[in-house]
Amino acid sequence: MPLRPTHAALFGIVQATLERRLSEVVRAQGQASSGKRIQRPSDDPVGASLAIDLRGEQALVARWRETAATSRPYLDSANSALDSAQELIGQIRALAVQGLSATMNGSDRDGLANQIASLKASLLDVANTSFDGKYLFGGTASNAKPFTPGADGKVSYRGNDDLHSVILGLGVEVPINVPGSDLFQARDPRGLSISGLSGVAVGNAPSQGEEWVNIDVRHDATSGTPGSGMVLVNGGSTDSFLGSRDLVVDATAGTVRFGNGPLVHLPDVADPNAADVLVRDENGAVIHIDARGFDGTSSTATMTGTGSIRAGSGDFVAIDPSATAFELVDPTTDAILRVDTTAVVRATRDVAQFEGTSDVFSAIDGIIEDLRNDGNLSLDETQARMDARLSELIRNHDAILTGIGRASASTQRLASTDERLSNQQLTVAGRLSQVEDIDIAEAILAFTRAQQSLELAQSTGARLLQTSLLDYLR
Amino acid sequence: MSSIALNIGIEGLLAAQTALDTVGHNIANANTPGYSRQSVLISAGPTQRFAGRLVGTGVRAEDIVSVRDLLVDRRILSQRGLLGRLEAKSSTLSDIESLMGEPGSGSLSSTVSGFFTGVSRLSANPGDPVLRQDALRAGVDMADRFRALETGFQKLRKDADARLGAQVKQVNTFTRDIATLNRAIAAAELGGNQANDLRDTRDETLRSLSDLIDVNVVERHDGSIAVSTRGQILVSSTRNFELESTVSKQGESILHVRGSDQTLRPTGGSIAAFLEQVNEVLPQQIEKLNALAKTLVHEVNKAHSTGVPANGPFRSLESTHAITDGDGDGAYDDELLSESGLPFDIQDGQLSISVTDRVTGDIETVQIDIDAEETTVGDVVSALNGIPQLTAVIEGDGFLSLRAAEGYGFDFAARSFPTSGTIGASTVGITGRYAGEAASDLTFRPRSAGDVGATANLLVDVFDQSGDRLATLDVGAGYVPGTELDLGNGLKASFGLGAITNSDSFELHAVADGDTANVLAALGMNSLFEGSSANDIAVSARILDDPRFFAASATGADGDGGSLSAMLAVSEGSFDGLAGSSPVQFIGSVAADIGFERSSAELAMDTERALHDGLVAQRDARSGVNVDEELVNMLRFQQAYQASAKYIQVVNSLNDEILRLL
Repeated sequence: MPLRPTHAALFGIVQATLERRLSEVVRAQGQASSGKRIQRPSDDPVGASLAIDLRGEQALVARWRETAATSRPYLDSANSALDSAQELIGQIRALAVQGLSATMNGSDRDGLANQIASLKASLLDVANTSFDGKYLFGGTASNAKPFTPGADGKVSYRGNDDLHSVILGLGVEVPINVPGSDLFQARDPRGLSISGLSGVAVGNAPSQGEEWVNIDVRHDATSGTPGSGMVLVNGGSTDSFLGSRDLVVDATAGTVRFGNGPLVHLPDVADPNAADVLVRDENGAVIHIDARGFDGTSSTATMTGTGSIRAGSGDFVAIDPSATAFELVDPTTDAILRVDTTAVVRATRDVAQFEGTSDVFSAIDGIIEDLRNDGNLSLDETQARMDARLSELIRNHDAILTGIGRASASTQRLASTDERLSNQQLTVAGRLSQVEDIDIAEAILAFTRAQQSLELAQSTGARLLQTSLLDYLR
Repeated sequence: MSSIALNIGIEGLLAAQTALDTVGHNIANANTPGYSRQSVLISAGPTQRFAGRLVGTGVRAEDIVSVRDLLVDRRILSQRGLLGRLEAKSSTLSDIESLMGEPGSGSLSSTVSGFFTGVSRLSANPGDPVLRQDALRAGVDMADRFRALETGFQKLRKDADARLGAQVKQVNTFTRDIATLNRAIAAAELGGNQANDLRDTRDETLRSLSDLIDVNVVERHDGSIAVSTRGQILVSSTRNFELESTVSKQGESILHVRGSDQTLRPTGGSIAAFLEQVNEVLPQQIEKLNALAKTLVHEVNKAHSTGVPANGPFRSLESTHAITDGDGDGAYDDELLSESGLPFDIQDGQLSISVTDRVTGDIETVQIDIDAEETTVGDVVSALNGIPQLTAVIEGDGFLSLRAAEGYGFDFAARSFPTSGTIGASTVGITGRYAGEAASDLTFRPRSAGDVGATANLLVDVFDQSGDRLATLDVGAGYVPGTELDLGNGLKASFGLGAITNSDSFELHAVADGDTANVLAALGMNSLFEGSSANDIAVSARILDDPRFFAASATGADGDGGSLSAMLAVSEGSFDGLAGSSPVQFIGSVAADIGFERSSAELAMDTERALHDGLVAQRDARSGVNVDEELVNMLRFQQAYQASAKYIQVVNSLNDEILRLL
């Protein structure tokens, strides 16, 4: 049935059409001016949900990138500090080796000791490097100086050995520090070793302790009478040999020989030097002979030296020449040493080292102590001790190089992660734009189209509404 | 004859006049909403027998009737109901969308994201006080936004309820008018005529009523209509029954006829939409918001509560969720911890407490067992009091207060303990940090007897608590006493000189999480957020007062950000309370749901409006006034009037002729 149009209907239709066209124009304008296709979720619910997810991802990636950027300077600072540290140690090594040279005298060595002491102070500063108020080498305890010297001058570590890891992705944690304990206090316990000039050796039972303990071997008494009319000097109190050795006097050659040591010419009985003739054995141990009563005969006499031994600040205990696991305790450090005293040959100060337990500062302290030589040790004694110290120093040097490697590896990871994240950022931004943003050309087109439709509706509507029969009735 | 003739003329005039009147009435009401065009029923007059013939007696205007299509009218009513509902629904959903403001800046998703970004920035440098302030500020922003949204939703609900009330009043006005019109129409139509204009007015009122509520209309013989909704009478022949909305005990708005307690659930009209908003949609949104707030508060607090503040272990700490005296006996001790009115659940597990001697730096760690079924508040208090240097008491208002003696501090960090002990004559030292996921009690047992560092092949087995062997350590010949050996889980053990036998053992508690029972989060101790829902979530006042109480460190070292990492995991986790989504995803799906609802309402509205317009056009085609048509009619009846007048003139002149003959 053909629809019967009425004027009321007509006006209604025109009004509704104009309303619809106008709201389309408003919508197109809104999109074009805001640049956003989705101004509220109901504009495109699927797109809105996706947009919220993508924005969440964007925020996440931005967070990670920011973390990588703010962490980088700490690693860079640590890297450069560690470079300085390993250079300093290298210099100390060179100076220490110099000190071993026979051409140096006491005051030269003192000078070296001073130089090394000042290098050690610089190393301590490096170990306490801080960046932006945070100490870099204290593990995660970064608000206090990690390495501090105590009243006894010994440097102790107040930090911890935890890693500070930052999150750079889902399940991706990258450490941005190397703990000072790994760098300057690297440990690799390998058991006891003794510098051994005295003949003391590591026993066949385990020892327990840290760093170094001095083993003092002391000559107590010499027994036996030298032949050929000669006597001991001062009852043998200045002798340093231990164990039994033969004193052979060769009257023909006018020499005396102790053990397998070098031949010593006997001075004339009137010579004032005859009162105290120093004879060394093959170990460098000494017996003093008063040769004023030399009667010109050859003789062979067995001399025996007895002594005692102590560790650190412990009490001297008589040496048991049959002990293979003699226990010595140092009350200051609670170190327990089991030593073999069967081959003790001379009195000296040896150093017992718990290999792999010294930190770099105590290794350097040991070197300084040996160079200053306040105990007046002979060169060979000093050399024996320094060898042990140097091996610890080299071990610590390697630890720092390893630390540099670790810091570099973290830096690498930061850099490569950051690159990957920056790509991810671009991708997400692209996807978000696809969902949320309008295409400018499309938006302008849509607006123009909507506007044209509105104008068309307006002009045709106007024409329609104005036709009426009333215009034609007289 | 002449009287018939004159009558015929007069009838013709009168009929034309009536018709003209009707035309004029139609033209005047061309724009009256709901007006049905009227037309005069004109029929020829009764036949009379006159002079042996059947003659006509002119015209009669029988009645003025209006042209209506009842079926279309009824269909329009139901369409208006549909449209009314969709429009109201769309407008309230639009209000919700505006309130949420997703996904713009300042929206909930952006403030939640901002909080986690603040935490992430702090994690790169956990000791930095500026970054700490920023993170706290971001937390405050997020909490403020939660509360503002909750208030906003409550206000929307109140507004919807107010509009519901106003519309109910309007319904009552309409039904009153319809009843009045019923009476008027019944009275007017007693005489047998149609009360056209009254009916038009009643129809229009009916349509306005349908916008508000869906109605069923039945016409009675006396011209009155009975209006009902969902089987309940609103208007009978002579009176109306008023609607009212009351609030139930559960806070729902109930619609019912005054005097009846049967609930009305209309399916059409804007009242249906507002009822849905008030009783379902808005409460659901508030519920979802509360679920999100509760999950965030709980999970973030779980991560934070085992952390150590930047200013070191606690000297004193109070809980922020009160314990309620459920059985009213004035004592808290007998309350089951899991049923003491705390807003978060407790699980079976253990709570680790470490007491630090500030002078020596020594730390003693103790664990308290919690059984969700059995542990009472009193059990916990006495266990805490049993720890040296600690005192615990429930204050009068139900808050737990924990205090350390002078010179001591406590915290709940995950620490493996003991850190030293003996096995046989050998001293065992434990270092490192346990990296496992779950706590484990480890037992060290030598396989044979021997001396550490001396006997060949002297092995110590390490068993975890399920009896599996975790590691075997060689402490015999070749082992340097005091050297740290890796246990493979982040912990290291060293053995000193001494003799051990295989009847010796050493126990180590490896702790991964300082509070596996989640007691701290339930009580609100060392929490970052207070409250448990969207209307009371806030950053802890204690931490805002002194930001050093922000417990970023999981180990006590100030450069450690372990709790921050755990907090960041919350932003990506999936939670049961959020239907398996992460927080931001949850907000996204809620916003998308609202968006879906609104856009489908809008689409439906377009469809229904098109249908409605079609029906209106149909109705208009039958009942509307076409002004041109009326003008043509006007001309027609004008000419008819003129013709009848002319006829009367002619008849008159004929009479005069006859009279002149006399």
